[in-house]
Amino acid sequence: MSTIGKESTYQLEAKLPDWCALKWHHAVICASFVTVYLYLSYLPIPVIGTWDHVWSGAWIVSHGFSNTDPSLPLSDGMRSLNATWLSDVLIYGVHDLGGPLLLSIVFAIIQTTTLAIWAWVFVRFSKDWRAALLPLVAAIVSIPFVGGLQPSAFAMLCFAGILWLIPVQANSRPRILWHQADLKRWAAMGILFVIWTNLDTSFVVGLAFLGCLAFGRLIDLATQRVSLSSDRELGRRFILLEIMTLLTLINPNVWRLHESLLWWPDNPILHSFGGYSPVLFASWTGAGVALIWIVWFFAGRATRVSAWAFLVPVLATVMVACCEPFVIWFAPLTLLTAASLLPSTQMGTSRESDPDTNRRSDQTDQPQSLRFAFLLICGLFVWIGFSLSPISNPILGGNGLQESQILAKKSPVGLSKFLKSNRPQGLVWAPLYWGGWLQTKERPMEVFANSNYHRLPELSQRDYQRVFRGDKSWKKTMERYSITDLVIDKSRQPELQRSIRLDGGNWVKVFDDEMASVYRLKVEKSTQNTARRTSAKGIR
Amino acid sequence: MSEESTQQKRKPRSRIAFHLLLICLLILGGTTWAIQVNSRPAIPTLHRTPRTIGPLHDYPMVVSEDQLEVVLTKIRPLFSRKPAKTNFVDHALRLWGVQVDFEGDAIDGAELREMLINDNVFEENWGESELPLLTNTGTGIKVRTQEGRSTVSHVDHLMGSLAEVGTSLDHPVVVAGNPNASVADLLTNALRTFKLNQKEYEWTALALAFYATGNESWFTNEGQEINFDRLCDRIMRQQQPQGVCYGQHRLYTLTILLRIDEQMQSESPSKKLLASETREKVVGYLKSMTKRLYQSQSIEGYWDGNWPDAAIAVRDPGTDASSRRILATGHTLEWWAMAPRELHPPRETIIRAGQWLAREIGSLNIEKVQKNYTFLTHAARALALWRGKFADEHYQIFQERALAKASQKVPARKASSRKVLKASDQNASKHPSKKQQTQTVYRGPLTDRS
Repeated sequence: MSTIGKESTYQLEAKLPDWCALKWHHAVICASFVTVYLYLSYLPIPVIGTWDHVWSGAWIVSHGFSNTDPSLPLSDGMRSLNATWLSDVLIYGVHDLGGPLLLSIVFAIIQTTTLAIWAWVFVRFSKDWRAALLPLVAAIVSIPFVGGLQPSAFAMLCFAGILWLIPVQANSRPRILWHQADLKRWAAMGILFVIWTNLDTSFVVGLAFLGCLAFGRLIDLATQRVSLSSDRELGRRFILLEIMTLLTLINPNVWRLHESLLWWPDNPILHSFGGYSPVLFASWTGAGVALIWIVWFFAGRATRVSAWAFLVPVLATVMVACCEPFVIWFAPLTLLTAASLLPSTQMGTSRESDPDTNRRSDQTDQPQSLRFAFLLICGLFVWIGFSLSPISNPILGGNGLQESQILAKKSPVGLSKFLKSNRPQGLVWAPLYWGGWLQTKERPMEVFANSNYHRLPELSQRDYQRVFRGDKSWKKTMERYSITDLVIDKSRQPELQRSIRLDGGNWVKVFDDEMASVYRLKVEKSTQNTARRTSAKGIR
Repeated sequence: MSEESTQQKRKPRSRIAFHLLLICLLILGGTTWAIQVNSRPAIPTLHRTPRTIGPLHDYPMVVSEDQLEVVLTKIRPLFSRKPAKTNFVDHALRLWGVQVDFEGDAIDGAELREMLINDNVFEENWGESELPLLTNTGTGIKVRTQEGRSTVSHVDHLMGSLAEVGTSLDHPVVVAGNPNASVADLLTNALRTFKLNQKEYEWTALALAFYATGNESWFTNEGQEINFDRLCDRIMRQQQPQGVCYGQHRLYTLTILLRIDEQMQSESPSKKLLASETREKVVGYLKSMTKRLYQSQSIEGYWDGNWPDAAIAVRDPGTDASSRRILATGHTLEWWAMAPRELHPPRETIIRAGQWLAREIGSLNIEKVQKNYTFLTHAARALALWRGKFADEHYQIFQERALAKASQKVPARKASSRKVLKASDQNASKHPSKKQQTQTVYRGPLTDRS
């Protein structure tokens, strides 16, 4: 129903559709998301992560695909797969177009959009406006692993889109009704899956989620002793899983991508989630996992839990227990299942689902003149968010952000400037978290390690650690790898600094600032030259 | 009606069965595929018998026969300190091969080999208290390295020496815990523990090339794919003169890889050890090394530890200069002797180096020979190769010549023998029958004579 065309007793009356008559909780949600957006807009780009993808994207654009990691010459011969090629190209494109500032803006927009879609999906699953705040809980729990535009950001957006496409009916059991999906939803789902497969290896999370939906339904029917053959929803869920699995074949590295799923122990999928890094329960992540499980138990305390709503958090918990960074998937997935478990008393379904009741309630609660007040307040919040964020600078003017504000404090800006004017002649040893940054800022530069450190052979990994710690054998190690430049992080490598100060041999300091030092290998001149110095013309 | 409803029920059931079958097939196929993609060869296909890579040149100006005789006689495996260092034994084996039969106290070639690959002989020499040189492990036979006098000094040098003297992979090895052990177990262990970035890799590469059937890849236990192209890149990566023996082992290995590649291509044009681009890179690299050597040669003819650039300081100035120079010059002449002419400097450079080396070794006393035995084996081998033969072949000729002279000039027999064998081997003339035996056993250049 709309107010357009109706007679009014007021001189100035807003002629807007009913859905524009927002309530106070909409304003709260809006304010929360604007705050998150502003926070993300000013989150500096971390020195590790994004830059490796910028470099990789530039490589793909200029050279195409490679079966080895071109950023790490020492990993030559190790199996590797770049399963994030599309993300890399996009990140490189963004950087090429607008530099670090645009990277920061795009990151904030993508993350906020993802959270907003999640919020919408959560509300659809629960029919409770409070569920819209759950993605913020997920964001807070995941905060140690969020920063900088990375493939996982694109993947999250894809997954949010996929969930949006799932038809949901809060009053029914099951709430997910895929058998009601029309052809457009199937097609949209397929397109999103194809994009996701090319963006990031986390598409396996999507497949696992669909698998949980299918097998969860199977378990539900089996436990209820309902005939499997008569359930349309079960069949559709399995077909969905199979089709989406087939669609992952649409990838330029199709054969290698699927083969890499089986690689062991150098599995790139596990490494893309962070490798084996068990979560400590006395940590931010550990506390977050516990909190989310409390929310889950609270939501499911008075309702019968569907098998999928149990399988998803259990699998996600196993993953996060082995791999801490997986919390970025664990948090939204588990909270989604929690939202789906909210009992009907909390859903407010009678109020939300019946527009007539809604309208009557509004008419009694609020004077007609203030019906759109919260819409205006929401608009104000959005405007404040826009005007305070860096994206408004081109329109509203202002100084904009300095590079030092966009980049993380640990970014060695002075170091990269030095290396630009004093190019290394060979392999550079630098802490791995600076590797991608240095490579992006000064192309081409060969570094010992970057964030793809796990792709190095085991001995090289050990040698990297040996040099990082400043072990006695560090000079021999440098010699073995023919390293010409040594970059030291002054805050984290005091042992190496001391070692080089006491007995640096032929390593001469050529750069020093408050963050980093650079030592370069120099050759010692002989005091007595016994050799004849002749022309080499006689050599063929 | 009842039949129709049964059919309707069967359809969904068959659909479910189809899906379940699909999933089962997927799991089965995935498992098979996983096993396949993760089981990669740890060892390439190998010939049982190694190739023979002989010298290419015979330049009498580099070293005269008389000079060579003096040098080789000095470098016979006569070790004053007993038991002889294992390091000396494996270097002596590489120089003399397994066919050589010495008169007197010098250790014969076959015996040298047994000292290295027979645990019982090793125990006889070193006693029960010493840890054995060879250990049977899950990955083959491990050779104790750089752990003192009783162990070898270079990683896989023993395997390289065995390959160079023509030892078959089936040759038995006596080691505790494996009654059927053979040389193949030594090579297997070398490959299974190999890492591309390990400290010494040149002898492993060399040994493997002697048995290689082509440029077939294998995978290290780190999961790295290795082939001879990658090994060449690794060898050329490290700056000179870094590495053991002033980086000269790397140049020798590259030369041998080129020669084996050439030999393979002559057998069949489709067979190669190195890719064409790698071959070009290696040739270019060795040429650049030759250029540096040409520029840095001393007026006397030697090179020192700073051979890549005489303007830089020697890294180990505290060591004996003569030893350093013999080491650098001997190793240089050794790889040039095996290299095709296109990699050589002007002949004058080689002659001056050869002459300096022959003179320097000729002037060494026994103590110094014992002290520098390992470097001297390379130098002696180099000089022998520059006269177109291996050391044992030359030594054989010298013995024959001495015998012939002795038979022509009976009164002068003792003196002639003494000239060949020097005072340290006075018993030589007392065993003519052994000389005769050596003559009949010898069958030309080194092949697998095990």
